[in-house]
Amino acid sequence: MTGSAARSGLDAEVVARVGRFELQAELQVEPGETVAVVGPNGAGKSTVLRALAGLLPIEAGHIALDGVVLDGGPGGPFVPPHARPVGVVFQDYLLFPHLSALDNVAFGLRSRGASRRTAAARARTWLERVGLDEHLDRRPGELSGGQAQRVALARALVTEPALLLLDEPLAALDATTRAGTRRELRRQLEAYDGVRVLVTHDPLDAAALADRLVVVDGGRVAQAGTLDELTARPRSRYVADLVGINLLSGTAADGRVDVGGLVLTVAEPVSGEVLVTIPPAAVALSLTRPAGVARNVWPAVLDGVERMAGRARVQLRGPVSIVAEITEAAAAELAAGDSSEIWVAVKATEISVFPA
Amino acid sequence: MSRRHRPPIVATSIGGLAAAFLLLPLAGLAWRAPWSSIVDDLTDPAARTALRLSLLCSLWATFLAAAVGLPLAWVLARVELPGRRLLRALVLVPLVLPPVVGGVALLLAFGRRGLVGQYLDSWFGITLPFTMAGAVLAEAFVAMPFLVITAEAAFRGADRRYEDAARTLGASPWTVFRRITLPLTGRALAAGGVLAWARALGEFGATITFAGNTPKRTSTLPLQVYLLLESGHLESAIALSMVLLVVCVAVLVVLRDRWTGLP
Repeated sequence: MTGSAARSGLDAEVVARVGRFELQAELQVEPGETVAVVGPNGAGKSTVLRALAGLLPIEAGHIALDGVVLDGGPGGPFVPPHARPVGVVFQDYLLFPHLSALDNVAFGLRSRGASRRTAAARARTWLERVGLDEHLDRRPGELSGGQAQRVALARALVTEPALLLLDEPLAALDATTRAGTRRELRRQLEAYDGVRVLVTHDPLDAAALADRLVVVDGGRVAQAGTLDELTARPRSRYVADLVGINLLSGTAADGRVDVGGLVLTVAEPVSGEVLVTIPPAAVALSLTRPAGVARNVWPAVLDGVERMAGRARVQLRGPVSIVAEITEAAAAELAAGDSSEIWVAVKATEISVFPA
Repeated sequence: MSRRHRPPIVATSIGGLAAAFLLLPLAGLAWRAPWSSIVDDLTDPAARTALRLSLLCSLWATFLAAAVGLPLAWVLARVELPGRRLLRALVLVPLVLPPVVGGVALLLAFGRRGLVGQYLDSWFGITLPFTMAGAVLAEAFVAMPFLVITAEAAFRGADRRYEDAARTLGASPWTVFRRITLPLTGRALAAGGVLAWARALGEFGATITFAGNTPKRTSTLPLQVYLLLESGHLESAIALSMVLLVVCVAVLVVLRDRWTGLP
């Protein structure tokens, strides 16, 4: 094996069947990269993870990690789950209810032959790293949702896997815990240099945690790319509606959010580091400065137009880059006029703000 | 009291009769128990031998049933085998088979001229009928189905996702079973074990048919009770019966959560 193959990341073409549901998805992920598989429930996201973990043998295709074939399809090589260098954070975490937090984290090390003392010492280090050194002896039933999530992450990472799989890691949490846990998860993911694959139905989690998104629908990949690409050039209505949002980050105070060169007025009372989403359909464009009541108005320059099923997605440069979705007729008007300066207007009530 | 809330008289009366029918014999046992001499009856050498033998045989039988019954239960619950439904039905045969018939069947299989027994005898010099090992075998035969059905239900009902999680953490199938499946199903398995043990302790028909009624070797408590009755020692028979009754009540108390559904 060559040096480059040793760290070539994940190369997978998964064809799998669960009952009458058939999944076909390709996935290429570099080491140190996070890819989010996004889609509604029943789109086949979890099936991808089960195949990558070895819990579901594939029917065709291949799964290779760092140049080693883990699953070659029927007749090909198959590495069983317990022999794969893979860590999984399951939906609902699935911490073993009869073991303490420490023993949960030590489980993977013990299974792989570490002595009791070594395993306990390393598990302790990991629990300290995720800030749970005071809860070593707690059973999962005595942990809060956010704490359980961190134990699950430590349990998956303690064996230093080459591939980390996360299945809806934030879905079980309430809104208040969610932001803090997401920020913490992002920090932990950045510190881990393996391949990261995240499954989620929430585009915000995907946008906040992943470098690239793979949108699945009905067992097929609808489109793959960065959030900006998917927002500017969605290939289908489905992709546009699911993940085609404008996402900005900034600092909030007193009903205003500074997103870097532009201060937005928002309806929600938040403060601190925030994520801001604006649906493209809520972005109004005009050739003259609008006289209406919209608080958020700024001049921008036309950067490109994508047509899609009677609508147009207009990309605009300015203090911030943003995508607007307007009718084709309106887009034609804009293109006919003097497009050197276009006015962008967004109502405060159309802007959603989330703690980052 | 409104008509709607009046207890249904006919059903309640018949139900009361049925309960009385079940409980009266036990009351009779307690009523005739030789309370003044019960200590003497139970410390009598023959009674003590029977007690010790019963305990020993039933524990061995439970161990034997668990050693082979748990893997069987696991296979029935988890492995896609052709004929699995048939196998499951066959395993339950000893539950409904009259124990005497079970004893005869055991004789024909493990007797000195039996299907397997003839080779045990001629190749290894092992004779099972009319020995303590035979008593253990007879008890295990009738007790094992109780363990198997309880354990199978537990293995079937266990949340497989925890086992999946353990597999991704590097646990081999045996480690998954030992460290995840067993602890998560432990209570149900223990209940099955207690049930099997209680059944083994009270075993009479198969034991007397296959192992005979030899004092110190195969005369377990139920056989001793029968022997005492036959020889006219009614009070001693009642005293030993009380021991078995107390054990049964204790088992019910231990398992009450599982059966009554009340805390």
